[in-house]
Amino acid sequence: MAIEMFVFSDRQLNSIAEWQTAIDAEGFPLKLKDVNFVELCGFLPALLNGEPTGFECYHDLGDDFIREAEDLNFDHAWKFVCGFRWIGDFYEFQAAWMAGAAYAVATNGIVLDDESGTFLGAVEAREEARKIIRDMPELEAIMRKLDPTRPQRVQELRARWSEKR
Amino acid sequence: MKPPLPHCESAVPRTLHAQFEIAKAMRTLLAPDGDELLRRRRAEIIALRRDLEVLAGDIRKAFEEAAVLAKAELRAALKKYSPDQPRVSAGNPDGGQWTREDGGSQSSTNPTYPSNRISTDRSETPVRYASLEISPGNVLTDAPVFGTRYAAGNERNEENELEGGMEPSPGQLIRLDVAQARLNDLIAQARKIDRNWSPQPGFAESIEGRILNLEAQAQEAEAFLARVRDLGYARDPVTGRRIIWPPNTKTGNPLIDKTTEQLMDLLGRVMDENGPRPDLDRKRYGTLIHTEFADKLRAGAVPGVKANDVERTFSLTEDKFYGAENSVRGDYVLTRDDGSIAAFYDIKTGRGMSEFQVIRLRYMSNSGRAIPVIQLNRERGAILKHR
Repeated sequence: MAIEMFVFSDRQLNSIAEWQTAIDAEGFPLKLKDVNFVELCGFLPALLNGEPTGFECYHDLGDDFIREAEDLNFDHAWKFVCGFRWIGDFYEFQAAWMAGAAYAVATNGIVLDDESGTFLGAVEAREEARKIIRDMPELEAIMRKLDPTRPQRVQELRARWSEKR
Repeated sequence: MKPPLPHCESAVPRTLHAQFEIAKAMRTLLAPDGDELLRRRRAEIIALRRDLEVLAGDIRKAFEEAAVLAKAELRAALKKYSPDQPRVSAGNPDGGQWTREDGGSQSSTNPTYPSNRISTDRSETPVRYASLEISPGNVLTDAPVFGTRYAAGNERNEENELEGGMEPSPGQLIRLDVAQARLNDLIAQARKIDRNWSPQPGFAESIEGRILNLEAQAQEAEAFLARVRDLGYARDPVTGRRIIWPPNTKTGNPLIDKTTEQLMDLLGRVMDENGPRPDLDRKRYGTLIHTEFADKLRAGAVPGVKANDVERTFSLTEDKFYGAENSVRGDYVLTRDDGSIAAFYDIKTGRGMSEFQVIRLRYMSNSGRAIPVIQLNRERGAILKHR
């Protein structure tokens, strides 16, 4: 749960490979772990600039979401929604936005920034993700100041990734 | 003075009883001959029966033709299927699909690709006798199979059934397809919550047995989904509408209610200390508040909070560490001394929490609906969203 964004689209990507191609096309420094994309339902590990991180990711049907989100105005009955969630961690935040923006561009969808309740077109989402990349040094500085446990988490993750491989 | 009303003489008696008797007598006199009516009715029934017989004959003929077609396609499909034929290994984008000996995929022209829909083009999509299975995402996989399949390697049985005159009727094939499609849909829904969920495997020789298996598996899936839905919003048992409690509703549990107050107090302090941040947009600000809140909780800002319960990971596998694949995290999980979960807390700086997330969190943590999920928002207060 925590902080969320959603991508609405009329088509879905079919595999992590297809998604990764979309991310690479945008030039984002993000590598997704090659998992079963169809059954993805929770944390998706990734490497951001070579550092382990990730975000939670869920597939859902658009009409289920739209029915529940009574406070939002949808001008189109989107078929699919892909949810992205991150905890208090700017690395997860960056990874989620890069992956989400690339997904929106690849599927010609739109992005819902759940914090502000505003919608962004795919091109706007791409620009937002690029802005997040530009802000990275500033965000990392905030993280270093606020979350001293982060380096330990990264170290643990890296070790576990190595074990898994 | 009022003029007198005109007076008309009449032969019809003025009492109601007499008028009724006259009307009855007139109806009897004017009605057609009873025998004549009977004759007409009989003629109509004979004509209808004749029409029905013609119609039944047409239907029988159509079914026979369809059966011949289905049988021919089935034979062709079975001849092309060999259980020993190599398939692309799992993990490959084409994982599970048929391949040639040289490793080249032939999935695009795979004649035995099972369909979970009723075929409208017999020339392209053969009737499915599932020796493979279709996954909820319509992807041919090596995943465990469900429902309608003949026993592994028992294509001989299929041939026997065909040759022995036991071939399924077109109606049975349609029912089989419909049952399979329904089961696939239900499994897809169940796997949105638990990606590993599967119904009990079924086995049957006859097509009716397989249909029954599919229906039993569908019932199992529906029962699972009903249990899962019960983990979501509290709803009025009569109207089914969501029950919404006013902000800062108490649970009545002193441990939970005290912790809620302390967490709300901490959230207020974190937001005060950060002040307004015009340099950060809402999502950056929300991430910042979450980061600092979690950090302060881990550092012991609220007595009794265990650091491991902050942004704790829940998973259906043994991997319950940060970063575990397909895991979920809560912002804070209040646990009792014995380690059991007392409440979930969700910090919200944006919109509300979805029912889907509540269900996932309760399911993955193996918690029942009695465990409250409390949303903390500075403006809206502590909202007992789901109980």
